[in-house]
Amino acid sequence: MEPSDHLFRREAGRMVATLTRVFGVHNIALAEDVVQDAFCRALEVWKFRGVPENPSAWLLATAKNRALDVLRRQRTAHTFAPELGRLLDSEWTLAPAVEELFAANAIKDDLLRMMFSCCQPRLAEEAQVALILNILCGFSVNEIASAFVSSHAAIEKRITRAKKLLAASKRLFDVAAPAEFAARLPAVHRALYLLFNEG
Amino acid sequence: MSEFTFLFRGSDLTAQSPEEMQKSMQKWLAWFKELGEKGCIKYPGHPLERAGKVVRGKQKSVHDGPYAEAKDIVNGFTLIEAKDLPHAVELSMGCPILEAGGSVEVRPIRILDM
Repeated sequence: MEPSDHLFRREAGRMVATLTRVFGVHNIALAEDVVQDAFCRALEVWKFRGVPENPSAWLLATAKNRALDVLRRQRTAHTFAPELGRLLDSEWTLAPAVEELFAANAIKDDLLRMMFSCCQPRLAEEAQVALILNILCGFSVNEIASAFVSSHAAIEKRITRAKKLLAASKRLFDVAAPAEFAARLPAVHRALYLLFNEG
Repeated sequence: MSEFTFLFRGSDLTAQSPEEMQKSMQKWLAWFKELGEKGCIKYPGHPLERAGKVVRGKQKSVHDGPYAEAKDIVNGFTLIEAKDLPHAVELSMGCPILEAGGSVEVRPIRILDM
């Protein structure tokens, strides 16, 4: 079976959003590592064995298992998502909680929540949009640089700084807060526009 | 027809964007498909995990490993059917790992005629 065009790019955003919800926004780098790891596994296994029946589900299951691994091994040393309280602390609640977070409906919410979280008012709009394109839309620095007609180095710097700032915000954006929602909406629109433009 | 093994070394996974990784995978799928259509795949083979153990010598000492440089570690294999060694080498030329600086070792499988 042939994977659909941009499968990895599409799945990257969903996976990072969900993993960031599980690990907490301060661990966004960890979430990105787990996604990268899932893609590496897919690449290695699929090239020998062919693409599985449902590649999206395969990727998501791989990311979920890896997330469980990370949570089990590091939960004493790290704090993960504060929003999830103590759900991740005990083996009784860990697996069902993660299962629920990876359910299809939850993932849709995660994408939206993450998109608004990227629109941190302390970031310039250019940076917010670059962040969304990189984290949620799976665009490389090069692709974003050409969308902004800017240099690789400038965009890389912009994204690195923006990620640091995002990781420093204590919590993910609460989509139910109406006042801030409106303020962040224009940047979300702009990112969506660029996304469709770039294909 | 003779049998050969392709041993893949080196990696094409260096901090790539999802899009680039997918492109890389599609190249591999296309290459395997082409080999398959030519009837040259005896067995598609497997990827190998990086870390394992090395058991050595009469003492049967067990070590973590192999600790070689990434470019020297075998990370997968495939069994190929080809006319002869030059043909097998020609088939290996399409392997995407080469574009990423990796290598394919082409080794004839010795078959004993009984």
